[in-house]
Amino acid sequence: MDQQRGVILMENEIDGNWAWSSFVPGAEVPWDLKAAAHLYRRAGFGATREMLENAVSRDVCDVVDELLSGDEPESFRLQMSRLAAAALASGKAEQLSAWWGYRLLSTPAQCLEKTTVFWHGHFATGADKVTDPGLMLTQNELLRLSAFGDFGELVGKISRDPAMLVYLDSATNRKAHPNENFSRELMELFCLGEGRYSEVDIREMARCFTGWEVRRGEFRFNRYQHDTGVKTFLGETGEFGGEEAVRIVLKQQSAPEFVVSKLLRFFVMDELPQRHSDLIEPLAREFRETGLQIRPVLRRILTSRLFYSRYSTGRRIKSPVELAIGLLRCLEGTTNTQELSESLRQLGQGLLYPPSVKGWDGGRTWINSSTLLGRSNLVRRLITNQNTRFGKKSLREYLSDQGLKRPFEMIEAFEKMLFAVPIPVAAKERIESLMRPGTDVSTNEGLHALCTLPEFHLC
Amino acid sequence: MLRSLRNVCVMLVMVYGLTVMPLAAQDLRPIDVVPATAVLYLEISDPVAVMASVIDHAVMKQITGLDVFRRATETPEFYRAIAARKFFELQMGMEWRAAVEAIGQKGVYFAVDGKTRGNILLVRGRDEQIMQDVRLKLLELTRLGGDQIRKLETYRDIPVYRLEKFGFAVVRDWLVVSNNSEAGKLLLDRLLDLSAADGESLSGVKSFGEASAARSAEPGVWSWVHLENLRALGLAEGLFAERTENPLAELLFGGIQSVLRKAQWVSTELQMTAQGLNLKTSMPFAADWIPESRQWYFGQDAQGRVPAVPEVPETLMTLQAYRGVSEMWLRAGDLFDEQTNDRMAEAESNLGTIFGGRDFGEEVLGAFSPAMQLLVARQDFSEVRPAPAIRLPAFALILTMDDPETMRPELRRTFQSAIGFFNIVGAQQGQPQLEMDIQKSDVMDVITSHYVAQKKDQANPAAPVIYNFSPTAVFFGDQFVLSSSESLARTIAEARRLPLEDAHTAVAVEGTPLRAVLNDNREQLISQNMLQKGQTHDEAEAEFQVILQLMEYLQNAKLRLVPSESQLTLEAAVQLQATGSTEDGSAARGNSDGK
Repeated sequence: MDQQRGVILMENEIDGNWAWSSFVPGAEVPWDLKAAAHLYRRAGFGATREMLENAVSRDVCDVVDELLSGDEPESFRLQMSRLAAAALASGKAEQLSAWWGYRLLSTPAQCLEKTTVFWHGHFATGADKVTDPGLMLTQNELLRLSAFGDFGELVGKISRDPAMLVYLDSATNRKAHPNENFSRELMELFCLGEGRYSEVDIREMARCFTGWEVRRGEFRFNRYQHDTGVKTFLGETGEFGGEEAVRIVLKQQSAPEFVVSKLLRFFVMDELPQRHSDLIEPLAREFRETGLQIRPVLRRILTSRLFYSRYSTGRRIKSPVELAIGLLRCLEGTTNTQELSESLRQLGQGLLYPPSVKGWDGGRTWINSSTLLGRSNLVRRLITNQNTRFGKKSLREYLSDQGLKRPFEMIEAFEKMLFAVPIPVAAKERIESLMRPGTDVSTNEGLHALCTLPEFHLC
Repeated sequence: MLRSLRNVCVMLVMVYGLTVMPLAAQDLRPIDVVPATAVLYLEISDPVAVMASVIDHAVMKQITGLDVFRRATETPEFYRAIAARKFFELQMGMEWRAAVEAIGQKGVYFAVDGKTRGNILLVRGRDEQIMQDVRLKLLELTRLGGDQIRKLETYRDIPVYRLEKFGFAVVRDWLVVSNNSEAGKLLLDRLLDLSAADGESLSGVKSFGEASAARSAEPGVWSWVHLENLRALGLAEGLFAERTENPLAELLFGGIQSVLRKAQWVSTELQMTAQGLNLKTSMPFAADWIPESRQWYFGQDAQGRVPAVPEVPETLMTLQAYRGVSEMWLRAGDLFDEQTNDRMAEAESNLGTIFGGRDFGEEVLGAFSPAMQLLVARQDFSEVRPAPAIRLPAFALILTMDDPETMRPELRRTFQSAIGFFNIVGAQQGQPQLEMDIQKSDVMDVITSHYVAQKKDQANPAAPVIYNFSPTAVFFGDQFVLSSSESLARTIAEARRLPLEDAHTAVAVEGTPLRAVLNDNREQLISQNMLQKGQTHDEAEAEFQVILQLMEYLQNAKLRLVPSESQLTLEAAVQLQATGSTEDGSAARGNSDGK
């Protein structure tokens, strides 16, 4: 009942073996439209009614494998590259942000794009500091290319990524004055988490990255500025360079646990149980055993019993990106992505504009009295924007084409596609009474009213 | 016998009365009806011809025949408009065009009366019957539209219908609409019996006669504004202000504003011909109307004229003007407010630094003749690397030096300083550096600069926008060309000059190179459209194609300001061309008249 009202209740502990065993649809948790919508909302941004019906007719593992294939047609990739080049030609990072918004809305591989958003928050780099949008695009492409791949390889590449080095003030790193920013964030934010290293580890590791520079937008190793001396950190001693430093960090026991717990918070639940080591451990072990490959871990998560259970559904708060892109994708919506990206920025989740190197905290931090109003306004702007079309039509015409003409039919359809938890009956009745059949304004108002319900903000 | 003769006479008088009286009514002109106190009068004397010139135009027929046009009309809004048209046709019992032609066959006239502040619309139909039909249909449409007739009055046996914002009546073949009852009554009085009506009509106004004498016989839209009356009534005060307070507005229109303060009237004539659209605005003019503080605008005795334009291939725009900018700068104290003068003083100080401490207004601007021009031309990047992703046209400012021997070395040094300044700023921002070169010959000095391509850009066909520029200065004879591109500067220096135009200001835009520039930036514009409208590439491309196809019909557009001894004329012309356009935008051009 509490879950139905959208209130998040946290259990103290969840059994890891039960959690990561494969999901078997049954009477209690069937593989139905609701479960399929949950999968698409979490693994991607959302699915149309037709996609959901298609998913339900197939095996859940097949649907997950399709999502994790990350396949985008060559023509789509080519078109996106051209669009990115055009956005870059303007010299404005805002245009690139709009391009990413366009990509999120139109990609056929939404799980790949969602995971790219995850890594963007994990390896947070902001275009307001990295003034060259070309560097931001290079990083964005790296994150997408490695989104399902080898985490170790990704960390290695991000350590040499010009945008990251510029963002962490490591564009010049001389042996006389090693820059500690990158080594600190590598351990604290990217691989291990707080409390898993000492200040000495930071200082010693910073020496490994001396001579790593950015010149004319490209990574350069300046051997004359590299400290070739012996370094001791995280229990190892040697004449280590940057590559060895990354390898040593990734060898730490806490590395897979840290990454897996972040993946869980992003894909499964905003708040982990108070005692969660048993929940994390099996997944971290699998992550380690597969050589830190990301795709198998995601597959385990998305096909798990936990993922389709009450511990997961409705247990996340939609981020602004999930809210806006999800709403549009579920209804085949297209819009002015320049305005969309600006609105997302105002709501605190500007694409390419994370608030700090920590990325977005997510969860309950998305909601306060100011952002709640902002989210409502965003939905209104999206629905009423003259460039917003749903399946190339107005919302009313789009729904009408799907046989949804009466207000209660529309509300039922919206509930299945857009809501993680049921809409209270009283709210449904109230909104239905506001809607007059057959008018664009009334249909738009009805959808907007639904999107202002607390339940809509749960994912 | 006498009785018979008298009867014959009586019959003749009756026949005369029956035939001549209606004729007198038919001969009534709108300018006999509109009061002399009118401040604006607009006339479409032959609406049938005007409508035909638009609807039956070769270009219009081609546009409506395009697939993209048909697709664009497949919208609910368009279908609603079609439904409204059908309803109108049903009401009138004839096809819409025939109905419109019948209703406005003898002219449509609009006026604003300065005395009553009333707006007046006069429509003269084919005959009395059609106008009576219109009256009835108007009543019906008004009711259907939810507007209720607030009052039905009878004025001198004519039913007058009053709605919330206006009233209307039909007198013989005239439909009279006005938002002011006093103005409406005045019109009805004149229509019913001109000889008994009070006051003067427009036909008796001297300045109206002057203006209408100069109008052409071609059908079109003609308007007249009684500036003298407007000034006397204190209307449109902004138009007659003494100063613009804005340097750019002053530079563009300062002199015209002085003329508006003195001229009695201004008339405008708009015509659609087979070749295109022509607009001509005229007003009386006298050189001594221009105050001393604005002598820089038209020159001594208003003799200032534009220079000759160089013939440069792929020119998409030229702007030629006569403006004594130096004098305007030095007279800033008389022309602008304190705030603007402060800003100009600050700018002068900064510019003085760039120009080696020389007085910007006196020595720099003053070193050039007031006749100047700006030329914009398409750039060809097909053989150039790096080629910018956004391909801007090149532009050049062409000036005539009063004292070339003194100014040439000064300007050369200034240009070199400016390039050095750009390099310092560019280096701070990680931009490529400009490399300079100087070439001298017997006929010209050329100082060029080019951005040295960064390694990553060297073979790039989509490089940053900065590669559009290769700032160049050329000196030849008394001419100084400052151009954004070396190629354009050299072409201008070597180009043949076109014949001089008798104009004070002239702007020309050419359609073909403008289309080519749009096409050069095709992918960029399509991408922009995709992001702004959320369209797919195909949709955005189709929309771009529509713009390109519509642009096919633009041959050129021109604007000229010509002062003569007694008149100031502003002429605007848009020349259209019918094409054998295909869906891919290629076209086999021909004359619009089909020759």
